[in-house]
Amino acid sequence: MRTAVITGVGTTAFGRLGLSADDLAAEAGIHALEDAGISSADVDGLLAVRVSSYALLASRLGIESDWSLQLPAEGRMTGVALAAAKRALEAGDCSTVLLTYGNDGRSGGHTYGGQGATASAAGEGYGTAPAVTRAAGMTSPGAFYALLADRYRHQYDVAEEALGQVAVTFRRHARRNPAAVMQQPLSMADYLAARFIVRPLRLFDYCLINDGGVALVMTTEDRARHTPGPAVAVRGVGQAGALRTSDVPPGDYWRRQIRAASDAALREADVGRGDVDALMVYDNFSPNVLFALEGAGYCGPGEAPDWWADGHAEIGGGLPINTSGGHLSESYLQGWGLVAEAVRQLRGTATGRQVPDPRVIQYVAPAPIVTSLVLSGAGS
Amino acid sequence: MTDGAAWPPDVAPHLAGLSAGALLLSRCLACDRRSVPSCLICPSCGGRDVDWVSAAGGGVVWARVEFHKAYLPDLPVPYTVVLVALDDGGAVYGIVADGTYEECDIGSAVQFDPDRSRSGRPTFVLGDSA
Repeated sequence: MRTAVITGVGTTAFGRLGLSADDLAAEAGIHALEDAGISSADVDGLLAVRVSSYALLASRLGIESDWSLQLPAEGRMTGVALAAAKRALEAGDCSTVLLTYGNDGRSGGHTYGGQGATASAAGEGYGTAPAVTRAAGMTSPGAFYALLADRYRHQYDVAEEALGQVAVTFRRHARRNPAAVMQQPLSMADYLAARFIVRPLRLFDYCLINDGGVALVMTTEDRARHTPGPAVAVRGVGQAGALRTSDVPPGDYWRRQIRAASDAALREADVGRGDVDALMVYDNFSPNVLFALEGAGYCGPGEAPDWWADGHAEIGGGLPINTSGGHLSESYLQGWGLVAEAVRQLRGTATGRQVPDPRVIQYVAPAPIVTSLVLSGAGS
Repeated sequence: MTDGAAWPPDVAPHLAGLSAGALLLSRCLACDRRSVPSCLICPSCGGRDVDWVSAAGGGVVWARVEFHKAYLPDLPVPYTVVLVALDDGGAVYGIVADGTYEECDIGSAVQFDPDRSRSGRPTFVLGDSA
């Protein structure tokens, strides 16, 4: 059995960069190839996300791919992308894939909601009929999560600090990560003093729209023996859909689908939750982190706020979460930055924020397509 | 932009209904599931026959949010949006006229307001009947 492994990771700077998504994806791609110690001639698979054209990337990077795929810009596709590349490699359809992602959301003035620049119903605010939801003034993905957060707070009698502590923890992590956009301290008082965007969500419950690119080189374990850096295996993947009913918020906060995707990824990796040393959770909005913890079974329903308050999610805690600062404080890279962080943690190169000797890291992304990944050091 | 008005043409009766002061939902003739948008194959029972029915208009607040960021130029903030679980089935979003975030707590009774909804914005008022 060939196991798919990540041998190269590349990231650009994050912030207002004035570069196109294609430029950012290409720059990250070059960094990833260099990190993997290979040339573009060694690449026979290309997976491109949020760029204008896979063809443009291939020609600019000198890649001739026998396996090519471009996925839509939604962040829920990141786990799908890694799973697709893993399956293609393990089936032998190709031998080395460059996965590359570019996002010029800040320079491009992308807004989400109110018929902004993002070309999808998901960007408009979830569901499939923006004309209907917009008529009711219900627009933007943040509003969708605000509604879920309102329901969750009511159902479990949760204080507003329950969301604030997620933002505060991730900011602490970001301040140990020089690449993170947000470096200023954030206290609970700062969180509570910030304006509402869509109540009950405040400014710091929202991710940071920025420019940035992330790329990964994925190959099979047998080919990875001579790469310069430690390889990281994509041991397990899981996916579960909640698309059929996505026009209304999920009454169970996607708990059933999160559990299914998480369990599938852990099962394929042949590990259990107790083996997981750190979590990377898709934090487009702070409530999603609590939903992920409860859905995946790390906490019981309604218990994530108290669990968080006990400090488990901190670097140095029992299950550090989003050690890079995540989307809330590093940059909104739609999961790609979290996967890059998982690779760096497992390689032991997360300088300043390194979790001691992590063996297994899980990625969980709740959305109408829930995905999960389990990564671990190759050979371990 | 993926817009419900383009394809599938399964939200037009709902939007037209608002302008006429009615709250129309698609109904599966086999299992009575009600939804907006409509569907070609019912997610609940697999039925393929649907029609559009007028909801009585009463319901309870499933959750509510208060917009402070102005996303829509003709809709001044703050305004409160609720997801209403309708008494006769299905759920719709609506603006609560004169309803603050605090007043629209989960479980509150709301009623569709036909006159204010003719603007094209589905509008509810607090209480059991308008």
